[in-house]
Amino acid sequence: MGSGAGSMCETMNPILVVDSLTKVYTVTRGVMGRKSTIRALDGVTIEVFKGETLGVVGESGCGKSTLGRLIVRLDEPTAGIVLFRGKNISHLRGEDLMAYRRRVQLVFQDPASSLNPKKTVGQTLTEPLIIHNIVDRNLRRERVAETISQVGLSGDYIHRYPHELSGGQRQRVGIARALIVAPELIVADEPVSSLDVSIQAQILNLLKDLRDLYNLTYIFISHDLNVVRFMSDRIAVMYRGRIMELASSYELYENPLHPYTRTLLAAIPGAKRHSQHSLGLKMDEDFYEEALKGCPFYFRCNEKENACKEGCPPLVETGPAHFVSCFVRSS
Amino acid sequence: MTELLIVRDLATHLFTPQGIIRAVDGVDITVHPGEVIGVVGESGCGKTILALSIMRLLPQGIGKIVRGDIVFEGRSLLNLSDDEIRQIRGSKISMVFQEPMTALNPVFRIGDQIMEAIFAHQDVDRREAREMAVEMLSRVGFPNPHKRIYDYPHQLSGGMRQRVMIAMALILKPCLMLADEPTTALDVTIQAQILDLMKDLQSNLGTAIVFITHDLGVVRVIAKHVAVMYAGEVVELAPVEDLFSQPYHPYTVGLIESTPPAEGAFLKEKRLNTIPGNVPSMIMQIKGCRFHDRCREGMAICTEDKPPWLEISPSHGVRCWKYV
Repeated sequence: MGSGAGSMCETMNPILVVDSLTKVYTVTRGVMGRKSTIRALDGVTIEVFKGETLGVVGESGCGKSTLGRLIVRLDEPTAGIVLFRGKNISHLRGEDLMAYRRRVQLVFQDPASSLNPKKTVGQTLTEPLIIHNIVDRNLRRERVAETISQVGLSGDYIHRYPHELSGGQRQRVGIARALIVAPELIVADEPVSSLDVSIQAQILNLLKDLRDLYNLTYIFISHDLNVVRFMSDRIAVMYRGRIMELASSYELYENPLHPYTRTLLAAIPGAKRHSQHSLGLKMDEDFYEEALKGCPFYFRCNEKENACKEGCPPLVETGPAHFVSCFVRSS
Repeated sequence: MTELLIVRDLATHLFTPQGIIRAVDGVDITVHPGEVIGVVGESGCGKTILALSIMRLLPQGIGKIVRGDIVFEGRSLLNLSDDEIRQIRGSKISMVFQEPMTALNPVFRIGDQIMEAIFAHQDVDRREAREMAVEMLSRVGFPNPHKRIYDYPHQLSGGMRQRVMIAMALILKPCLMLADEPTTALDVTIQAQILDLMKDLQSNLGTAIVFITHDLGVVRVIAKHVAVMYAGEVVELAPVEDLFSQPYHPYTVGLIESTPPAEGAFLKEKRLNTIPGNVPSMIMQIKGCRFHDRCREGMAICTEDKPPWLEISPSHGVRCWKYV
């Protein structure tokens, strides 16, 4: 686990440590109720340092949202642990769990469905203050007003309902709700993917401003490679429940090692494609039912070797703070 | 080169209980045979209603073309009877939708759904139609198409479903395809595959495409000319390279600057140049330029009068007072 750091951060203690985190969902399929399992997360190990933004990027089904949900304890892991400031969070109960949830907040993708339609913005923002009992009753109104202006909304929004807001304004409320309890870590799960381009830019800027103002730590989950790059210090690339590559965002984009990372980068519209990484994958399905013994990317990879079929490559450091999970690239 | 499609001063309004939405309000677009035109804009700018107007698929009783004309191969589409427009739909103009799962019928095999389009327009027997479907599926990248035509939509991934949609749209070799956000619901690697596929098919079959998207990166890859729409109007129309290298309209500039850069270092400290405010509600009538309240370069006249269409060059036009 100790290798999960990066050399530039070695002097610091991580605020959050995720160790061998695994989540298996059991799903029922078909009319006969045949049970099968999905390994949404498969032994993910990563560290997050105070004040950094860790980007998590991958396509649908790669486990990035599951990772976020396990970190904020919306779900229990099948195996592995999450340590926050050195304390295992999976056994927290009662007040300890409450305290944890105050320090680690989540911003959801879809602000329309994550806000209570029957509550005004003011009520939505007051609720966490009451639950966590962190602000004096008579100062709550002030705190709400202060937070709402910090996310760029004017004071009269306090009396509005979610349906009276645009998508961007709703996401500002979602951010305000996370922010109002003064958390240390915010997990943002696709916070801008349902927004228009011009609104997306406003929200990204807002998240950066808040990060600088409060020295926040972000785990920024997104499928959009340009957005993740714009936001993050380091980026973890995920595929089928595993981390394929982890590096500083500059290094990852300038010197991608894993064939999957290269495929992803080549797929950005307008990206220059190296001929051998011209998305050599004709089919995007037919791989899902295969048992995962070897590398999860085996079937789509155009650099595979025999070893890739037999075992799963570990995440190893191939350069300063650059980790890759690939037999071909790490040897 | 003669024009394939001319949209002239088109206005389509939606008559809703809340009021009249001027979804498309005076749009001019010309498509030449075999050309790919991109239509970019944010939600509510009218780009989908524009496509539905061309297809005459507007929601009944709500959507109405109130002004202008749509001329396809020299014939106005607006005066055609339902039977006549049905002859054109599918065989000459086809459409690909954003969400392939809702656009496909879940209870029919994909082969039958593709063949349905053939039977609607051509007098062929089942065997011939099946061969056509198999051939088209193999063109859109299906392995074992003779087996896959018996699949149901739920057996396919999102990318494969969108390939079926494209196969359906192209099976009768139409001269024009309207693609409404065809890759938006797809993962980025699948999106890249579908864009490659559409480019290949477009150059092989010579189909003209009107490609509607909110994604500037996508439009840059696929289109030759781009129309930028805002609040029901085309505010800028230019060859794709000119649009990105020298955008004229402040909205186009804002859109480009709002997109996180694909290159560069030390992005952590950078901020994006944003367009302030929100997309306007199309129920209110806006006096003057529709962008004026969000514009960084607004002048007095912008709040008073609607800016005229100006031609910067024969292929590059803009609707903005700044250049008058």
